[in-house]
Amino acid sequence: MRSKRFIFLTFTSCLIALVLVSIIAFVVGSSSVGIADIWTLISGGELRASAYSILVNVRLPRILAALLAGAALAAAGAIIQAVLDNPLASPNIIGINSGAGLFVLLAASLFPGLLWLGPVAAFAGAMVTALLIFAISVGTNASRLTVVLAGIAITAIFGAGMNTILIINPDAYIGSSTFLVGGLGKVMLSDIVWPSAYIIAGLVLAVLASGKLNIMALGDQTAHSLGMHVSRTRLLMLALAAMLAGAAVSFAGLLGFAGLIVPHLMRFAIGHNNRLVVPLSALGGAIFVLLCDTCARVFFAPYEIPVGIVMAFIGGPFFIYLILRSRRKA
Amino acid sequence: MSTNSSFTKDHTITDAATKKDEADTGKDAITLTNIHFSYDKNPFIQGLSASFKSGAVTSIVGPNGCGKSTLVKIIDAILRPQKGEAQICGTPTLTMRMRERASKLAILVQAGHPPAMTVQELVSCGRFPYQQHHGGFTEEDKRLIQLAMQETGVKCFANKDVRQLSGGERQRAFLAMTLAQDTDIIVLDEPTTYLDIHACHDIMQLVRELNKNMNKTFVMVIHDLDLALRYSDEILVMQAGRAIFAGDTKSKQALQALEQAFSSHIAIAQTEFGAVHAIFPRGKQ
Repeated sequence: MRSKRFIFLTFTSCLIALVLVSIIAFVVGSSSVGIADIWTLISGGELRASAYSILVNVRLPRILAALLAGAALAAAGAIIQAVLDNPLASPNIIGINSGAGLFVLLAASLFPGLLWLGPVAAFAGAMVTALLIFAISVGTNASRLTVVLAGIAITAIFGAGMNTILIINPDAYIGSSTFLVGGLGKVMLSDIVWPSAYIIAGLVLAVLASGKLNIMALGDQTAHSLGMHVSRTRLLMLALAAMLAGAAVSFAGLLGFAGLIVPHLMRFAIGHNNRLVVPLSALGGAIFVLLCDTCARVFFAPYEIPVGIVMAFIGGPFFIYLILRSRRKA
Repeated sequence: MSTNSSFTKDHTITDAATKKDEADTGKDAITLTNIHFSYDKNPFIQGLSASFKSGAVTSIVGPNGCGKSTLVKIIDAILRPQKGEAQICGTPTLTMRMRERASKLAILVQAGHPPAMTVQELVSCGRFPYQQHHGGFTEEDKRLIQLAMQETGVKCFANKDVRQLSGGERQRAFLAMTLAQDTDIIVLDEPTTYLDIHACHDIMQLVRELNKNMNKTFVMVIHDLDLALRYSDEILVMQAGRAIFAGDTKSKQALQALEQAFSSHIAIAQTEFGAVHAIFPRGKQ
C-alpha cells in the first residue's frame, strides 16, 4: 500500500497540473489573449469584446468539453478494465464508443431536426454495446482474449455501419470526418449541457462504487462468498461505464485511447486499488485530453487537427507496448 | 531431524481427540438434506445428505469429479440444487440475503490468479459484508483486520504485494481474509493444492490453531488423504455424487470407505514422529 502522504501528493499534483493545463489552454491559440485578460475576466473587470468572445465563446466550451470527455472516458476505461478483469479493455476497444457513434449517426440521419436526440442516442448505443459485451463475457464464460476479439469485431461492424450511413447520406452529420476520429473543434456550450450532467453524475457514482471493483478483482466465487451480487454488480458497473463513454462520444466523437492509456498510467503511479485508480483516472484523463487538444490546436496552426488524431499518435505506440509487455509476462 | 517442529508433533491424533470432547457437538453448522444436482441431463449429486458439526474440523474427500467442489458451491448458494436444500445454522442458504450468508459462512476458494493488492488490502476485503454502501472502515473493522493478520502470522508483510508472496504465505493471507469476515464457519476448497509439503502442514496446523483458539468450524475439501486423516475430526467420503461415509476420522469404517472410494489400501505406519497414512493403489505393486 502506498503511504497516505504519497496518495495525497499524487492527487494534489494532478489537481495542480489540471489547473496549469487549463490556464495554458485558455492562453495559447491563434488569437492573442493573455493571462492578464483571464484575470480581468475572473475578477469581473472590463474586457475587450474580442478577448471576451474568444475566452467565453470559443475557448471555454472547448476546454470544458476536453475536461469532461477525458474524465468520462478514462473513468469508464478504469471501470471496464476492472469489471472485465482485462487490462486491454477500454470503451473504444470493446466497441462501446463505436456503438454510441453508430446510434448518433443513425439518429442524425433519420431524425435530422431533433438535436436533443444525439446524447440520448449515444447513451443508448453505448448501453446496447455494453450489454452485448456483458452477454459475451458472462454468458459464454469467455476468456479475456475472446472478449477483446469480440469487441474488435463489434467495432468493425459498427464502423462499417457508420461509414455506410455517411456514404448514403453524406450530410447526416456536420463534420463527420472529425466525429469519426474524435474532435472538439466545433463544440458549443449548448452541446455539453446535458452530457455534462450525465458525466458528473456518472463520475460521482463511479467513485462511490469503486470499492466494489476491488472485491470483484478477487474472482467471481470469492466476491459471491463475500456477499456481493456479482452479475448484478458487473452489469451495473458496465452500464455506468457506458453512460460515461456515451455522454462523451455524443459531443466529442469517437475519442480513442484516453480510456485505455490513462488508467494504466495511474496504476503505474499508485497501484491497483480501484478506490484510487477510478478518481485519479478521471483527473488524469481530463488533463490528458485537454493537453492533447491544446497541442492539436497549436502545433499545426493555422490548421487544426482533431484531438483524436493526436491521441492516436500517442496512444497507438503505447498500446503496442502494453501488448508486448503482457505477452512477455505470459 | 527431531528438532523440526512441523513434523515432530503429531498434531491431530492427540489434539483432535481432546478437541472432540470440548467441541460443541450439540448443533450442526451446515446441514445438507437429500441434495440432488446435475449440470446437464446426467445426475451428478444424487440424494446426498450430510451434516457438519459445529466446532469441528471436517474434511470432504473423494476421487476427482465426485462432486466435492460442486457441494461447496451448493452450500454457498452459487448453485441451486434441483432437489433438497442446504442449511447454515438451521436456515436454508437460498433464503438468506447475500450479506447475511456472508456473515455466517466464509469460503476460501481454490487458488486463482492472485490479486494485485497488498496483504492488508486483501484482508480488508473480508469486511465487505459489513460495510455500508461505499464507506470506509469502522474501528471494529480495523480491529478485526489486525486480529486476522496477527492470528495467521501475516502481519509482518501487511504492506507487501500478495503476488510477491510464496504459495504458503499467500494462502495464509487469504485465510486471514476469511477470518476478517468474522464468521463461525469457514469452508476451504482445496487449501493445500499447489503448496509444497511443508506449507501444506503449515496451513493445516494453522487450521487446527484457529479451530482451537478462535472456535471456528472448518469444512475443507482436500485431496491429500494423509493430511485429511491427520488433521480433521470428522470426514465425509464421497464417491460418484454420493456420501458413502460420514463420521469420526479415526474409525475403522472411515478407512474402509476411503479404501473403497479410491480403490486403494491404506496402511498406517507408526514412526518416531507419529502416525502416517500411506496409500497403495489396489491391483498394482
